[in-house]
Amino acid sequence: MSEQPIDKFCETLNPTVKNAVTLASVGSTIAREKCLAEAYPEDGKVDRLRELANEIRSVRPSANFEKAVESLERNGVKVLFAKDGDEARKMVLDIAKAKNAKNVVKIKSMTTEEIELNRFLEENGIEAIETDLGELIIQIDNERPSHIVKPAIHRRRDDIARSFEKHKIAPYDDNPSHITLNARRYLRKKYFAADIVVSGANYILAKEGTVVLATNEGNSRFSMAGAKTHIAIAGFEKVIPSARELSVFLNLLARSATGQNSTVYTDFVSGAGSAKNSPQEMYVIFLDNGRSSILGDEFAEILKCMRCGACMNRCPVFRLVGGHAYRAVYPGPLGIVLSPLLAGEKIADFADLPKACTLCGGCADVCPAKINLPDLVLKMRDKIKKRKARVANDVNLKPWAFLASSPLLWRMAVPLNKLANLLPLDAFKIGPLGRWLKTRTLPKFKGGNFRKWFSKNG
Amino acid sequence: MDKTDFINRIKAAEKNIPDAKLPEFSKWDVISTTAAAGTPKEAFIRNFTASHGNVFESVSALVTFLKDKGCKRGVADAKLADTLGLENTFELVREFDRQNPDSYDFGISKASFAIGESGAIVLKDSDTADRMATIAPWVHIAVLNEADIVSSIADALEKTVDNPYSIFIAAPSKTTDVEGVLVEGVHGPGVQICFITK
Repeated sequence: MSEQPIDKFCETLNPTVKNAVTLASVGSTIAREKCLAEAYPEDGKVDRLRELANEIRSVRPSANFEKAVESLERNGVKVLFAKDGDEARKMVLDIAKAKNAKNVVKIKSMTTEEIELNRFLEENGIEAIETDLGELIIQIDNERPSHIVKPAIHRRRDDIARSFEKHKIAPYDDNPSHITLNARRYLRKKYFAADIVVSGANYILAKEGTVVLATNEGNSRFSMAGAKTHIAIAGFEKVIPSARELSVFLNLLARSATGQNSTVYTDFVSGAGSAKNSPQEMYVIFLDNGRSSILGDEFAEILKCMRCGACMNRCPVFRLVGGHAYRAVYPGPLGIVLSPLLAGEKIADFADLPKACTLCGGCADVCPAKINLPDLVLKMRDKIKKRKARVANDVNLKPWAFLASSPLLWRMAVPLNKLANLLPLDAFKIGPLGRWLKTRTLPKFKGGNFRKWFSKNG
Repeated sequence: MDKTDFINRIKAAEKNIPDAKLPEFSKWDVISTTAAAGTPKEAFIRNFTASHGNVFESVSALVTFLKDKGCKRGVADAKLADTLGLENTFELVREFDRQNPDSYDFGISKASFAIGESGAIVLKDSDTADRMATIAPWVHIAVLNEADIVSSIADALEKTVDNPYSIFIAAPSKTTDVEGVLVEGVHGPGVQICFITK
């Protein structure tokens, strides 16, 4: 038995972090359920809406994509095309250099996390500040988001206050209202000093040529009032046909993510220069970064993901281990499928992730785009196995299959299960097996009498 | 990467997936009948206030509320300030000064329309004199004509994207990023008001 990185991580996981993640993710799952049930009391309506979201995204993307490029250009937007993270980062830097820009404000975007844009800009002498409170909290401590919607889900108020003090944002004060107010004061100066605002895109409307952004804090609108240039970076799968289809997604997104009927702010950006306090120039950088390969293979469904986080909130493994256990930008069931795909040649680094799944199906039950995540997890197990990657805990199940397919052997073996109760488990608590057993217990075996009972009473 | 190459990569990849048609649906498949229940105005007021927005229909009530909040100085769209007559009570300026962003207690702007189903006001650049006046002050007042309230999000989307920049605003700016505790007024207004005129 070899060592699993995810087990090693859990061994050192702080219990307060674990608690914070469990409470927040369980809470979000309950809020989602309640909100959808209240909004759609009619039988089957939520399901129909989720099916629509899936079907809209089942249309081959190229036609809508070409139309989106055309519409954006018609709206005066400069559209760029990046093969991978390297190209996208360089495009942002080139724009910044051309404008002699030194200050960038960021609107929370998983795509820019994926290409690690902030670090790159900092290395090139450009300050890039996250304006979403949760993103700011993790950025100042050089952490990765531990959840795609609530990036600081693993942080406690006291350690946030200590970080704010350390990074000279504000003196120590751990009242959540005061933490928020201190961030407000700090970020205000950044909005007015911003040369460039970099955003992602929740959706891009092909017909209208519009970038749609959903936020709760209003950092999008403030950035869009403060900065002189807007750059939106988006995977090509973010394109949907038109505003008409958007009604399906807007009715699902916030309800699935946080149990709100809608996000507080929904921005529709179709160009620049329409107001005095607004960017005068707009760029959209479309990113491939492995997406076209995903589209062409058996994992294409994952491109329908709308990044709501419902799957991780619902996942019994995520709830206990938190997002950092997945060692990549996308955690939870989504990450199990997407991280190995985005890793390219380094896919074996994530060989343990598809195993960190109980196949309970909870993620598929809550996914607003009805993505069959457990099916994709199984396919990922298979893909990694075929690559002959060294898979942790990959025990040979052939003896088990032999036993289970012979009724006679099976009948003889069942009473032997009682011997498991005599196993001195404490003696095994060393090495990788010990690590595995440290967080797992073996329940006492009480079965083995059914056949006897059935032949008498059945 | 070149545009043609980028599109060709997508085209080559999508050959492997079945060519599905865009599904047929009506707005009744999408609308939340409970959220949109009642007249558009009733639904708007119910949903907007449920998310902690404030609705006023009389100037005197609005003035009292603003005074209670300690408001003294505001930045307002010229036409709207005259309509409401707020300058009798408050110091009103017409232009937002970026050098003194914190010198305004409130900002007033015109709401292009509002949505019953989501309890959101809609601001379009073509109707809004200054984006800053709507986001920087602690209190934002959107002035909405009662006739300009649509029932559903689907209805709203038909008339939103005809502008370089429009926005739905459903409540005060808020976050739950610190231990899930709800805090209002993160970057934008901590108090979001809709003043409905006839």
